[in-house]
Amino acid sequence: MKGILYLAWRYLCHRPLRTMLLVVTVALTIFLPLAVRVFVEESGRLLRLRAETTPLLVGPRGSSVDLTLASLYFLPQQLEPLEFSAYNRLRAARQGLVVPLHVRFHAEGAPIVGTTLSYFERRGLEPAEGRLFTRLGDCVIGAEIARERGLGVGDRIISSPDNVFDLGGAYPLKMRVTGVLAEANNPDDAAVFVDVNTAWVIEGLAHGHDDAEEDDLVLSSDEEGVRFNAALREYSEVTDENVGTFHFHGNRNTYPITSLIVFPESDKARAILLGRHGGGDAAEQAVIPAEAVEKLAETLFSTRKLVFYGFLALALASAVLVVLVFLLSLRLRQREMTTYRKIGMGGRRLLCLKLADALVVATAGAAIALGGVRVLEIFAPRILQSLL
Amino acid sequence: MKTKQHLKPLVFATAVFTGLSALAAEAGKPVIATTNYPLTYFTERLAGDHVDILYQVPEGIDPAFWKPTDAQVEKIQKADLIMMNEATYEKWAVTAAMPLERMVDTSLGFADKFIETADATVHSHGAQGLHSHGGTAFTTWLDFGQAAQQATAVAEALVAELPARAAEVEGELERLKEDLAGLDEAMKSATEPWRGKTVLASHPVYQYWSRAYGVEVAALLWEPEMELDEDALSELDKKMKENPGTEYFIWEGNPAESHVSKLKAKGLTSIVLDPCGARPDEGDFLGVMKANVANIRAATGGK
Repeated sequence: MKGILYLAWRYLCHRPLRTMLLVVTVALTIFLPLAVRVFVEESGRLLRLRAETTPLLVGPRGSSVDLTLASLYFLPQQLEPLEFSAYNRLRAARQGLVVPLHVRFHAEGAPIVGTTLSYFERRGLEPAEGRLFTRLGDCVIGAEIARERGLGVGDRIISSPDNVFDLGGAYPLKMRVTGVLAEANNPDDAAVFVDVNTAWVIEGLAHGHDDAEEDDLVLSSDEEGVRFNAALREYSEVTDENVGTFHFHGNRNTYPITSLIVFPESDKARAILLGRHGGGDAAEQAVIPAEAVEKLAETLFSTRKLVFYGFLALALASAVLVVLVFLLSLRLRQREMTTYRKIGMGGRRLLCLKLADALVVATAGAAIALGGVRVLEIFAPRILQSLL
Repeated sequence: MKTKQHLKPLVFATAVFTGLSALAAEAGKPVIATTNYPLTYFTERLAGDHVDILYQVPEGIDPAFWKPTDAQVEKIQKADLIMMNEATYEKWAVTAAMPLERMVDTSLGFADKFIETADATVHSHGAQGLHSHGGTAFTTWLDFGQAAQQATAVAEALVAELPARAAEVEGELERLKEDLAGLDEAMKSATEPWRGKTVLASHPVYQYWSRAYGVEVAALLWEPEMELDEDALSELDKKMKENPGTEYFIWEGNPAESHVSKLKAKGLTSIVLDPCGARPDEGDFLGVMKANVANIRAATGGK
């Protein structure tokens, strides 16, 4: 047997390019469908993991998948805003912890998430450096943002204009980084977190400005009040000196948020919340993120059967090609086989010699493919987290 | 004898275990942050030693205009409960990142009865810098009926936090409400001679007291320790012209003797009505309010 294998090995080394092409073909044929399966399974697992740690979402009526994507992955969606009064109503109902989310703005591609301190407690997020925000204009950044942009405690990050053509829209705000969160291996790593009030400052619902004592800043003055003109300078950064001038306008209950994460205190509370928001005439909807993600996963991965059949066809074609190559090789080796017969090699050993070639190629290809899949299983979560 | 010897280690172990359990229980006391002295007093009375109170306003600083540092805000954020006066009292809270679900709005029960303040003059005094009394009147506890509602809100929050101590807290709340009801009655009778009349005040902090006890108050912007120069006195003259027949001047703290004499020369009797927003040097909230009632009685001859 050793002799057969030696002869097969020597023949393969004698035709290195052919051998390599055959091994790679076999390896890819086995690796590709397995790799796709690994990615699909890992993607599903990651999507479900994020959703499973979020018991309930309350948001405006519309697509539950859009609401879930905006709230869990901070992906921009076309959603009607929810009024902050919804937060106060849910809190008053005392069915669990309610955490508001404002996800509308971004800082050079990184989503700015306006929320409260409870978000960090419930997500198990702690600062690896510095501390959480304590006042308006502060922010805490995810580990990935800190790494990619070389930012740390004390640095500044500026919000991007919502619409560069809307001159009267949200003003960029220069925010103070007070902390860098520890690596979480989820979308929180790529986000900039602020207090929900800071998000409203970016929204233009609150501002700080100079004391308007100069007459040329006054547009009109009557019983209703004093109106200042556009020359009144609004601060684009909150500092120790000007923080006291910041104030909110209008009714806070009407301020916009994206959604509410609810952590019901019991199964009964969860059922009550779902019941209250389940009716067709309810102003808001309650979404179970795990169900929405399952729906999304089914849609996304419904094509996997198609992909599987595609790979099957590809595998068959590859197998036919490989067999063809082997048959052609045997034809080319006829004189070699005749020589082996003449020097006394029996029919069975000759057959083994012919099959050994295919066996070595198949084994090598399979080993490389399975090794590759094993490596992929280790790195797949990181690759997917960077993409999701 | 042998039995006694066997019992000794058991008794010792039990004693150690009980002591350790008590230590562990006390070491885990909830932290209750408060933003002014009245709320601190209510919390101290209602919860006793079962909580640790976090009250960070330094001595000599009016809590209404206190600006906590980042480190102080961070400590407040970590408290189990944060007792807030609201009614625009805590101006620093507007720009601070607060854990909303742990904040207790003690004046929510009468929020629909807040008094809007009309003219908000920006001014400064002491080391606290510029500020105004604009927005909503915030010395809510000077109406002892409202003070009782705030104490009730504190008690409800404490009961939710310390369910095992519910009976104690509720029992103490009844006693506190009796004390506040007593103060209310005493203030009503002391201010009887002032009903429908106007008194002058050094600071615009008596709006709820004025409404509750039927006394009109015309306020200046004076401090007990400030110098009464010509400008200040002409301001006073103007106020007296606008409110003819007024005989009393309320100070929020002990005025200098010279101030008392100057006002006396104008026919005004000085009375201290301490809002007690900050912790007093001596005594407690109840003591200060009783002293306020006594001061009014002494001046007016009310019962």
